[in-house]
Amino acid sequence: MKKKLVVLLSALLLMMMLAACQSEEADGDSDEVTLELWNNLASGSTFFPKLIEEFEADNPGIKIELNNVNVESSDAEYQAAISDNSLPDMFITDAFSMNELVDLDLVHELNSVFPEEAQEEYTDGVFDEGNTRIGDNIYLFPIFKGGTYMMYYNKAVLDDLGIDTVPETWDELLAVGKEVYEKSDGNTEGLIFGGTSGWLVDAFVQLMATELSPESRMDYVNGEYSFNNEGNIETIEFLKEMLDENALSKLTLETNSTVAREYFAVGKTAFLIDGNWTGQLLEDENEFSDWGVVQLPTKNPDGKQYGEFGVSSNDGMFVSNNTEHWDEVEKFLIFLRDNMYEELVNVGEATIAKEFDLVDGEAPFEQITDIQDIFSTMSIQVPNPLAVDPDALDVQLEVLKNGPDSSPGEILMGYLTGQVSDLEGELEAYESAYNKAFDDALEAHESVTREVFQFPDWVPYEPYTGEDHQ
Amino acid sequence: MAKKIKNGNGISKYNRNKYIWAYIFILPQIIVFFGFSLYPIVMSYVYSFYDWSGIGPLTNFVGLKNYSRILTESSFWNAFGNTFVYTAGFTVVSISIALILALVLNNPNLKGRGIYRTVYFLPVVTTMAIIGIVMQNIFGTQGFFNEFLKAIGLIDQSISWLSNPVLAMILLIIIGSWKEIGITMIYWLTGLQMIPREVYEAAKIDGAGSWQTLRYITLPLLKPIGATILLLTVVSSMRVFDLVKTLTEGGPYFATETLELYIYRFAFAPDGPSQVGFASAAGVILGLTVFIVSLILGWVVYKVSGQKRKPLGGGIK
Repeated sequence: MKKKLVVLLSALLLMMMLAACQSEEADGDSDEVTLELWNNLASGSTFFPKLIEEFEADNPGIKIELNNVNVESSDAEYQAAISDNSLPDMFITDAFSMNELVDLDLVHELNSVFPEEAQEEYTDGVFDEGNTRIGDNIYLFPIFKGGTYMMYYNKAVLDDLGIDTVPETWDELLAVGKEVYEKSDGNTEGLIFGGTSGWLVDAFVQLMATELSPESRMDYVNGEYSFNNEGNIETIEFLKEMLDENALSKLTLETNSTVAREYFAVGKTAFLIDGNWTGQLLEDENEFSDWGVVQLPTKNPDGKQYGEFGVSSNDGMFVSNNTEHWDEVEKFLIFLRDNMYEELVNVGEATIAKEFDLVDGEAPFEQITDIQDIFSTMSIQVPNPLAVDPDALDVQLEVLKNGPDSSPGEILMGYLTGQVSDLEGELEAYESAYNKAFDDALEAHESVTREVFQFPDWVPYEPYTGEDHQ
Repeated sequence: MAKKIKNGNGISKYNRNKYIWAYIFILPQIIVFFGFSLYPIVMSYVYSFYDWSGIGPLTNFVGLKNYSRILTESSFWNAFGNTFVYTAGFTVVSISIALILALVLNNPNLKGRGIYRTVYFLPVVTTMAIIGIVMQNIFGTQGFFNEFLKAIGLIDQSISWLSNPVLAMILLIIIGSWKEIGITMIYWLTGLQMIPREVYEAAKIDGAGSWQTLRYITLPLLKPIGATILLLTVVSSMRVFDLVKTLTEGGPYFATETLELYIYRFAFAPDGPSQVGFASAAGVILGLTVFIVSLILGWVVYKVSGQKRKPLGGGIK
């Protein structure tokens, strides 16, 4: 028995040693460097493979391993990778802000990739403090320059129903929505959006609210948060009216942005509210081309809306500080800097970080220029407290953490389902709780004062640039 | 001293080797248990005292601040309440229907018992998340169920099963119960088959009918296993997550958000920065709640089992 065990254990030990030798041998066979890239951009799974193939052909000693991370579960994956000290060489994430990653010394600066002359080819503001830069260092490789939201319309549906008005105002949207429903005997509805995608609802409600209340969310003049305002109230009440009048599809209440887009593409609705990237998805994933796009309708015919221009962590790529192959990574990033934006345009991405005119790509659909125009009109630089005092970020993060556990978008959804009856009361409670979290955060960070968040010379709808901050 | 001598001389070399091998064989399981069960539990207690985003070192000790914040959050109490509503509904529906099915399928004269048992057990082996996604399509406004009801003339307008707060919770309970009824039915069948046939024969001789047999023999003798089933059902339903995540995402407007989903939202899918410390505190509260409920139900099991053994034993004598 004893002998058998000894033989068994010895065999096991031998197998393990052989396996170890084999693996060492495999590694030792080649001088090839493998860089790992985690991508969570939908279009990244299309353009990265092509770029990687080109790069690898030019650089035989470097191999790029692309891992398309599931956006829904990426937070947990990144948390695990950071805890395990196994972040990939390059990664794209919205799980953590640039400041969090820099604070923890997890990301490598990219100054050598973006010398002054390279920066000049990018849209103004991309390399501003808080966007891709902290202090003197650039940490985020800018792929996009943020995003905005717009209204897509299904040309085929409108043509079939003999409707030639593309709504520009709320009244027109309501009227056309009702017309669509009535003319199609309820088989097609007016508007849809992914109501269960909280980020989407929050973002476009905020945009629509800025027409009537430009101070909505952050009142930069007074340095306080504003949610219980005319803009939010009227926007939410308008969408409720749309639902009650069958101009807004009830499917909105139970679908996310992906499913809403599918309903729109198959002609279940005439209009869809979604982000600037939706055009590319309609073409690629839904194989639907008969669409147009306009700015979100306004209450007044001459109404203006604006969104805050800003590059977030998900708009670019980070390099892990632990990468053992910085030289190769740098080489790849420079290759991307010079070749990526053309590919982005080729797959239909409209809001590339580089100046569009300097890129030679050919967009796969003509509507891309409409999307770019809407983005340029809507996305405006606003006062940036971080440009005044970088420590303001600690206050902002604290407010996000301790602020109320809801949002105007969620309040809208509660109002649509009838769970919120006192709209103003709910918004007021939300605003009070948010400002209390803001007061508490300011108290906890004595070095940052409220003045950092006040910009008395801010003019709504006008860009507030670096010069203004001076 | 005496104990040492006894141990030293009391175990033969053969037995000592057997013990050593036994420990070697259970070592992997112990390592897995410590690494993947005990360590995370202990650490979640530690994290709950920190303001921690899930990455980086634990530096910002906040004491009981996470707990005090949770206890004043209305959204936490909403999730807490939803968890108990789901648990109550799930427990009542799944236990009672599973018992009825078990009673029917325990009838030796029923043809095709095996097929029925298999059919009712099938949902148990299906992945909960898949069921959630499929059911979301079936019960959507334009889903199969609404179309079916329209086709047979029961409704004119589609019913918003998933965007009505009450209907969404009812749907969760029904689907959750349907998924687990098979396994609960097996528990009940085990209990039914443990009842000695002699008891039924004696009752028959005494002239007891079906209802009297059920009322005075079957149900009382099922109480011990019934208490155990109650414990298992309640504890498992309090930890519901995947079905809610895939079927309703906690909506509409948090109407079906349960504690596990609440914890997940703060730890892995927040609107702002991840709050693993805060989520851990919520997890600790959920753990303690489950523990207290288990203790209470465990006591019930103990009482019911203890009381029932005596008369049954006495009867056999």
